[in-house]
Amino acid sequence: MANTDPISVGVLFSTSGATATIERSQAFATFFAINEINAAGGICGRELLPVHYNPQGISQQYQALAERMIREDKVNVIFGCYMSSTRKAVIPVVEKWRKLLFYPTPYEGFEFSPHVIYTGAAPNQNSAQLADYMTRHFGARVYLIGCDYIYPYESNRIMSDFILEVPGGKKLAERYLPLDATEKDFLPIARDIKAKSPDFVFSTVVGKATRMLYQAYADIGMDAMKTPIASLTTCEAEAAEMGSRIAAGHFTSAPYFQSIQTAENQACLRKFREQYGDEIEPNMCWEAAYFQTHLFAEAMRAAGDDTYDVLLPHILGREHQALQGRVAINPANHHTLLHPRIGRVNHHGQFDIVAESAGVSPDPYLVTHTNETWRQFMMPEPQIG
Amino acid sequence: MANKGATGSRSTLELFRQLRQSRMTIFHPRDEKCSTLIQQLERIGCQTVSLWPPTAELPEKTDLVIFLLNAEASNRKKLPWLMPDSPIPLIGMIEYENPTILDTATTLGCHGILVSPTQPHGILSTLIMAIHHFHEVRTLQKRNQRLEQKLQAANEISAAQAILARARGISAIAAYKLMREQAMLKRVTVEEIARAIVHAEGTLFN
Repeated sequence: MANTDPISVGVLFSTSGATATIERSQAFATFFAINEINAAGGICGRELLPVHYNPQGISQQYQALAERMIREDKVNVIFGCYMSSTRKAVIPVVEKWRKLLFYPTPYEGFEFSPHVIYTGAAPNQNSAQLADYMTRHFGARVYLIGCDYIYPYESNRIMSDFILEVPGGKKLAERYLPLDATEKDFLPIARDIKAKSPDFVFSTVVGKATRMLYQAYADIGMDAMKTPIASLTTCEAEAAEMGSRIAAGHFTSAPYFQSIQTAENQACLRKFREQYGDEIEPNMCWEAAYFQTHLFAEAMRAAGDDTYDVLLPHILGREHQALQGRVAINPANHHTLLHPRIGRVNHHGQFDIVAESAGVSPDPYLVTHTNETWRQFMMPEPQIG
Repeated sequence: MANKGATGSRSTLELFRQLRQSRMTIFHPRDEKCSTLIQQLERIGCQTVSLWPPTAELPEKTDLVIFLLNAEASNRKKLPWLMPDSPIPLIGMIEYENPTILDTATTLGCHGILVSPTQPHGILSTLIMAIHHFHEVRTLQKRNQRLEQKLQAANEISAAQAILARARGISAIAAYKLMREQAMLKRVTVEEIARAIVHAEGTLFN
């Protein structure tokens, strides 16, 4: 007798709070993938049923709601988390109950839990590339600015380390602001940037504060074409929020941009807009959330079950044709082989891809990001149209 | 002090870099606990050699040893590399966190402890702290040795000064000046001149 019971899966992204814009896109990417999976007959005839709670960007809520999904809704798998603090809050829960968390967000590395699959970029898949690209094209006198938490600290550490090894490299300042900083908080910093006149600004500002920084930067009269801001997280969603007049000229390093010109990517974006409208802007975190859900479904079809011990061997080593290119889960460290790209915002608020590479294996414990570890992959820069 | 703090943080990064090139020897029975440990070491990027039972000779170019430390291990005949003034850091893997085992660990000269069964998290911190403190202690020991030598020399110089001042009826400062002149003339250190004076006095008057 075939089992036709639906399979509940947890979806733990905030639809309110400081990081809601990106987390909403991650939640909707997950729902979108689940709809596609169900439309194609589910998993061996069983429907996937998303159980979504809104943790409002609060770490304790992520922990409590993960516990609730597992105990009351009987989920074996959770797709969720954006900020590192929220992931750290959920890990003890999935470890205690022997469940699995899929985490679709770039983060600072130096972590491994047997109960997590990391599908966003590790520093060797975004920071190293950005540091090298920016120092080669703009210079190595850098102003660092970030939000006040672990991801910016570690990302800035990597960037500082890198620029100090470049001839003439200099860190002009390193400033941190709270997640709920307003434009008024950024104005004195923008003025300081103008006074110190760096070659580029490295920003690890995330969430709502992102727009405030870029806005203040434009208001103070900084020219993005001459002195751009380089980021690991600023994406199409933030570019749309701030408007292309402010966003144009700035850089981001990510494995995915909407502008990837493959038929699969463009068709997928059209289909997503038909179903969900224009409110959600697909971005790197959206893409990771989308492919990890499909990758989970493929693994579960092969495993026939979503309990941890049965499912995990089918996830480790699994390859999947994602929108960014072919990705694969590294069986040793649970992170994902990804395709680093450097994008520059154009006047339509989209990213022109100025450099891209073949797949780079994840190395979450890499400390020194030298050129040799990745430069061989970089392709000649395409002409920007 | 601020400057020292800055170099301190750089050297921690240096430790991370070294760690990725380190060769580690693991003396542990080949079981699940051992593979959890080795898998995490390899994720971190270390090179590992795993052996059981422990060998008297360490594999060539071993930078660090992690070894199973239990009652049987501590009763076993001495392993030459397991000694308090080991030239490389030693990390004991213990199953019981009790006074007997921890006392054994400190007596044997362990620089760090891992508690079995290990979790993937915690191993990196233990490695970094063990290596950091190992180097700190080595640096302090060397400095201490140098200071002891200096102190010894200072004692001899002041004794020689007193002898010379008494014998010649001159001031201590003049005595020191005289010793320094002699040192320059004979192309030896002031310490050696002082030692010769102290020695000569002992021979002449005792």
